Amino acid sequence: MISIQNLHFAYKKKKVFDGLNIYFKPGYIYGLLGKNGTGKSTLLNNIAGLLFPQSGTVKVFGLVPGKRQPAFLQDIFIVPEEFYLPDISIHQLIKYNAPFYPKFNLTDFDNYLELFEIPKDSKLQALSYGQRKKVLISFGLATNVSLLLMDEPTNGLDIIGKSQVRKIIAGAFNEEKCIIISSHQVKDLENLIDRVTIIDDGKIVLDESTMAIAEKLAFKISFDSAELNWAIYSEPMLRGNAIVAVNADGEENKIDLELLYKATVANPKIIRSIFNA
Amino acid sequence: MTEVLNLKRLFILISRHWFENRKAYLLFFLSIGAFLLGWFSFLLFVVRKLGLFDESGQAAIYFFGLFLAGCLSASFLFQDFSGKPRTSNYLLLPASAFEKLLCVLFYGIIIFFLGYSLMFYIADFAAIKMAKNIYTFDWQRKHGYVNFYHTFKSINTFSLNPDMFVFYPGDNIDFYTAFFPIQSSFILGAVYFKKNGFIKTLVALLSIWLIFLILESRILFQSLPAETKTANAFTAYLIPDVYGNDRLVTLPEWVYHLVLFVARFCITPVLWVATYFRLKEKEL
Repeated sequence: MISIQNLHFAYKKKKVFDGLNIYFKPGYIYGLLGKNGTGKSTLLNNIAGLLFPQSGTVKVFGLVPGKRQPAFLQDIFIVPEEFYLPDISIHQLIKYNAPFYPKFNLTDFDNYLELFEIPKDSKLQALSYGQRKKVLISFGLATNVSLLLMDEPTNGLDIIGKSQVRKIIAGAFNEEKCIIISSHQVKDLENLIDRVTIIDDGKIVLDESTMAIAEKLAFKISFDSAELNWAIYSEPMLRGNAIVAVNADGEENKIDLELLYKATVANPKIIRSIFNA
Repeated sequence: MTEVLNLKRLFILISRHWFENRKAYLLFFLSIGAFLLGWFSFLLFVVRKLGLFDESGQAAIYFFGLFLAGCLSASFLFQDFSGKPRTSNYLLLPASAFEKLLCVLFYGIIIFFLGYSLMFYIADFAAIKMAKNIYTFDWQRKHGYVNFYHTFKSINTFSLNPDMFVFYPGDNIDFYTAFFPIQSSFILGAVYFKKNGFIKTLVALLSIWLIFLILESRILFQSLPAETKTANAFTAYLIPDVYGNDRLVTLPEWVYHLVLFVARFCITPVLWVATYFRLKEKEL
């Protein structure tokens, strides 16, 4: 679905990507993790055709995003971190924007709004920031596009709102779609994503399915100081230590995204060698 | 073809643009109407000069307002590029760059022109009615009899009397020839410059004009005798002779017509094409 090869990108003198290669396949919800300024949004904007690569190729559905052809634009949707919604009602937003998306489903949209508890007859400017973001997320999901890009979608949402977003995204997903969610709040993506892509200093340091991660790495609380010696990453907790270690027994375990992220950024070579083995 | 132009999509785009900007357009045209009425009232009640309501006076107001409002409004046609969130929203709207350009030209050129002209004629009609009453009354008061032969009527901007023309009396210059290229320059400026498009385009146009004047004086006047004077700006030059054998150097007729043809039919479309490519290559 998305093929990025040898991508070079820079903002004036600040180099962001220097030969990035990555593929995104349909049927996955990708969690694009990384700290602020590592190039997550830049990558999403290159995929959406809002920024053009200095060199290298970006192809989405076999098309060049930078050409912004209607066939491409009507099959992708981006929920940006900073978004714009005009001063109109939700009904008018649908009336004047939905026709651009051939697969838009009004019933889905109404259901999402109901789940978010947003009155359908609201005026957008009368809603809070979080509510407006929920309207945009609902609209994006209701477009039923093949590629949905979400840049920090949970920013500005309350705890209930974050959980609603996770629930709705999971419900709207199917095997033909690809959803890429960028976030530095890794906890927000837990139980939602099925592939983790960690970006650091413009480089992909990890790109694995959650299944492979759970198979190869163990996330646990350890009270045994000896375990710390062979842990890939550890951090002290109130009681014991949270550790990431090689899952030698192949035991089923739950991924702690925050720990995974920290372990990967702290020891990228070790993590890579584990998955390349 | 549907990737470049789809009439249904274009229609939706035009409707969407109207819906999102209708308040701004209505306010803009009402402001123009109010400004024109205010200006006419100033002329009627403060200046009180009969000639200001002749064809030439009305035409001066019409074209002054047309240039000012046309260039200002053109600079705001790409408000969708004000800030990253709006730019992202606009660029990712599923319509081609060509359709987006057509939508902007539809509002910026056609709707603006019709709206401005409508506002002008409403204000002009009211002003002419009032002028007729006021000046007839003045005349009667001064001269003591009723017959006042001055005619007051609204102008037809497409068919002006060249001898009455206020800017260049006697010269049959069609001001629309200059208006559309200049307005289109401001449309290009609106998409080309990230901020302060109006000021930057104005400076760019004035710089081009200045360069043209410098070239004229450097190249043309240096190839002619030192005492050469301009007889008719850019088209005719007079070389005076102490014995009375003055010589007139004129541009060949075909050059004049070629320049006029280019100004009328080529510059505007070229600027639209430039706007299209700028729109296509626009990034966040």
